[in-house]
Amino acid sequence: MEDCYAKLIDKLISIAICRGVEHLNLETYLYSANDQRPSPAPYKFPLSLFADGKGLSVTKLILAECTLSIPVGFAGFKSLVELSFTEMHISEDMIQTLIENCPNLECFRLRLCSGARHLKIASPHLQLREIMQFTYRGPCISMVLSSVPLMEHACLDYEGRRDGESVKYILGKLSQDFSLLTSLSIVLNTYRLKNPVIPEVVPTPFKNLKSLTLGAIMHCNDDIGWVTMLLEVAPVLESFQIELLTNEKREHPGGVLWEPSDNAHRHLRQVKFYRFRMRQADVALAGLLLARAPLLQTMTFSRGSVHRSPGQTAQYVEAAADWTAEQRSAITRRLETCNAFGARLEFRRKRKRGLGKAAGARKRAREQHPGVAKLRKQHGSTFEDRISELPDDLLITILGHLDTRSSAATSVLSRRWQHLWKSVPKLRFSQHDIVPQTELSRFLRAHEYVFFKPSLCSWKRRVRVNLDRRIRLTDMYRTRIFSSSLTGFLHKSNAGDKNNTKISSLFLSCTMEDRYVNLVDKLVSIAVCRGVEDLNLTTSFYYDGQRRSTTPYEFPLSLFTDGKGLSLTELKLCECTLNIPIGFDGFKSLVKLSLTRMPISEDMIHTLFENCLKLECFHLNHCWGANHLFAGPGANHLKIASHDLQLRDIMVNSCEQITHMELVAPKLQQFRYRGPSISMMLGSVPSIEHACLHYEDSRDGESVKYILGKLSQDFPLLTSLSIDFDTYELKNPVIPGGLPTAFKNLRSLMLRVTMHSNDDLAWATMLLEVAPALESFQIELISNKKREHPGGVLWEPSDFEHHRLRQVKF
Amino acid sequence: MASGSGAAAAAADAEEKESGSRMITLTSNEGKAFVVTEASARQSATIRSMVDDGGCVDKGFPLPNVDSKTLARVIQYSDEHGNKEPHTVDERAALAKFDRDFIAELDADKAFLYDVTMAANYLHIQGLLALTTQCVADTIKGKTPEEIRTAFGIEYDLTAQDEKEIKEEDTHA
Repeated sequence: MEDCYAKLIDKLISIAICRGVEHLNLETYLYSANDQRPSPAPYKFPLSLFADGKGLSVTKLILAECTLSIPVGFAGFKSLVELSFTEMHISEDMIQTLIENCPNLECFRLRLCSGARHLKIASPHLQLREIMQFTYRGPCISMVLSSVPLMEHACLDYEGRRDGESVKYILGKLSQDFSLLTSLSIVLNTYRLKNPVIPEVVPTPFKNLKSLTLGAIMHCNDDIGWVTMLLEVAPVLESFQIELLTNEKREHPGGVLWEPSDNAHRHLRQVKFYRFRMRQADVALAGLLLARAPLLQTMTFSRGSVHRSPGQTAQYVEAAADWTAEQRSAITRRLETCNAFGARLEFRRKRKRGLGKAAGARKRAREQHPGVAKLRKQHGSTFEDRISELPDDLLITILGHLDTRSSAATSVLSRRWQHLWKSVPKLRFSQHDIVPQTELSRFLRAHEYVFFKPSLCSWKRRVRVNLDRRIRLTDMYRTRIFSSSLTGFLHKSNAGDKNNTKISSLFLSCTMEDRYVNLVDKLVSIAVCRGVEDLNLTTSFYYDGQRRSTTPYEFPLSLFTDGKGLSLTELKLCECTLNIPIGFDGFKSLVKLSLTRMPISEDMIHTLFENCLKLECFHLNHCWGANHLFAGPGANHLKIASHDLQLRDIMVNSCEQITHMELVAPKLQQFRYRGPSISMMLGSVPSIEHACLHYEDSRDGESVKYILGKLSQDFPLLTSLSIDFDTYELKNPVIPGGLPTAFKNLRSLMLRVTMHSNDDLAWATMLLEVAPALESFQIELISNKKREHPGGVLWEPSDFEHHRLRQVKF
Repeated sequence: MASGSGAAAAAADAEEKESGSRMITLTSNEGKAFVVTEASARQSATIRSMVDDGGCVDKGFPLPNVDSKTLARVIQYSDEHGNKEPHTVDERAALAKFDRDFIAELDADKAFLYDVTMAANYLHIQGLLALTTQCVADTIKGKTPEEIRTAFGIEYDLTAQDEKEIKEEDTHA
């Protein structure tokens, strides 16, 4: 609140009232903690707006730290249903006037109010008369309750007064005042009460009381005999909850001696003890109840509190240790003589696991790592360890997204995580994950500016040196971490032979060094032993222009001979060597094979396709044959021909030495080729649907001739075709002798042509004319625009109609 | 529409079943019913198999392990992925953006993220499960153990003996 706001708020309220406001909530605050200024005058609620029958729309009024000076004879607020005052000055007259004025009032709240000693809410017209719920918090007061017949629930919280008055009132007059209560909740303090509470007469009974909640702050040697008295006057009690807060340390032995009584709690079904610390008084009370209540079903002992966090009473969160087996048996032993009716004893614990010898050691460990406990204290229940409660298989799925080094690191998080990572079925070792690529590229980007600014030449050298050093350091760091994680994993696998969980995939990516060879061999052999299905070895031979190893990694084929390694379905190799001998009989179950930057030979391909009858997908990237870097028989003739093949997808990418390709694959659906134009011999590919041809550096006209001449003969049943080639400055314009045979099923055609701007495109129309079923056509012409001569494209008119064409994209 | 004869309504109903656009009722553990298209419900392998087995389609499927708040969020995902099939590049980009926003919102409320993960696991919605578990994995990635503990509120309870065991595994040959 500021003094200057008062007029504004006045206006605001008057506008709200003119426009029929129903709920009015003014919470102003007079003091702010850091402010040295004199506090402003409290806001004076403008009662004049409610005089003379105005403001009748308001049904709910909530005020905090305002002043409300209601004059005698005030006649507003007639329709008010809910009224709430917080930190306000009230007077007896004011309350009286209000109550008389508001016949519809149903809910009336006072919080932290001052001024009136005698609060009288009494009027024959009042709706409040039918009061059902009564909540009081504050010091013990004298109460005059004349007619509250419908009251069902009372909640009394006598905060911290040690005068014994409250106990006297509770045992003496409370049941007279609220004789029809069904639910009662009391909080009081009897700590070191000098005079033990012994009421002279037995109080009148609560006829309807079904639920009783009792919270008491007491000395541990205090007598709680009065509790049994309270229970005795509630004949129909069904549920009883008690929470006794005491100072545990000072209990004297002996002391609680209760007279036996014949009183039976015939309706009591449920008893809950909170903050149960095995004090004699607690145990005696529990024993008494067990002996007296024939219908008791459960008795719950919880070490947590009843109102730890409001709204979450069902979750008993415990601060320190759990119940130990000794404690449970002690309680049971002390109570079993009393339990004549066989009620069930429950021991509430936070978790089901972890009742072992190590509990003490774990507690000590927790004390040494206070970080989380501190955070939990700060953030309350929102900061709970929910992740560790997830089931194993989900946590394993989560760890499966990480590389093996990171997932192994989670073993030191806690006991829950210690062995989880060993069940992750995917192994992933990557040198490039170690320092994320993004971090390095961010560094590079930051320096780029400097490199390209000519005026900063003298800088340039220095930064360049820095950058080189940085890259070298990063690389050293990566190498060290990578090799140690690899050796670490192998050691663990050797040590724990009992762990036989299946490995479904192994991914390894690194720059090959000679010392890795043995490690990688071992790793692959472990993976094969444990049933690996997907094997991906992406090694690189050069790093930053330097060779790190003398020879590329040789894939250990011996692991796959004699019927071993049949689980393998997917194999991806990069910059390794795969020396398949003639007569090799492994890889029988292989479905997908991808080779990148590897030497291949005709024999090898031949052996492979004789063995891998299940192969569906075969990719070659940048592979080479004879006389390139690694000596070996040449492979300029790629022959994949067998009528038994399941092959569906072939990709040949930039294998420049291949000049002939021969294909017989009855199930082939997709064929992709990128490289120089080659001669193709396609024997039997009846089910092929999609072809993608990318001829690089093909200015010889051969490719166009092939496309217009033989392509549709080779792939007559294609439905989708994508061609990318180069006719730039083609000396001889392409004029095929006759119209090619038709693509019967071609529906989608994509052309991407690099050409001179004056080149003739007539061949494209020829291609369109042989595709009668074409529905979609996309064309991208890359040319040098600047040099176009006017005139030049002269096409003869033709009567051909593309009946099915629906979509064209340029 | 309301005056249509019973036979016509039945025919329309049958036709609707043919076309696969019938509606399916999912009930959360609080008893709240959610009506979704079949295409959306089929995102879940659990429900898909129940539908294909000809189970109680008309009565709806009670999901005793999923509460209403979580189910509503899961349905938000499966609606987006089930009712639309992305064909063009733009549609695919829009779906990817939806996934990004979806997971970013969940990432802010970790407790809810776990609920959704559990539900995706129970309902076998592979796409959603991959999305949520990847999100948790990304939080773990590149952190020291102490940072991970702080991020998830994991309590350190390893004894000296456990630590020794881990260290031994590390160094032992």
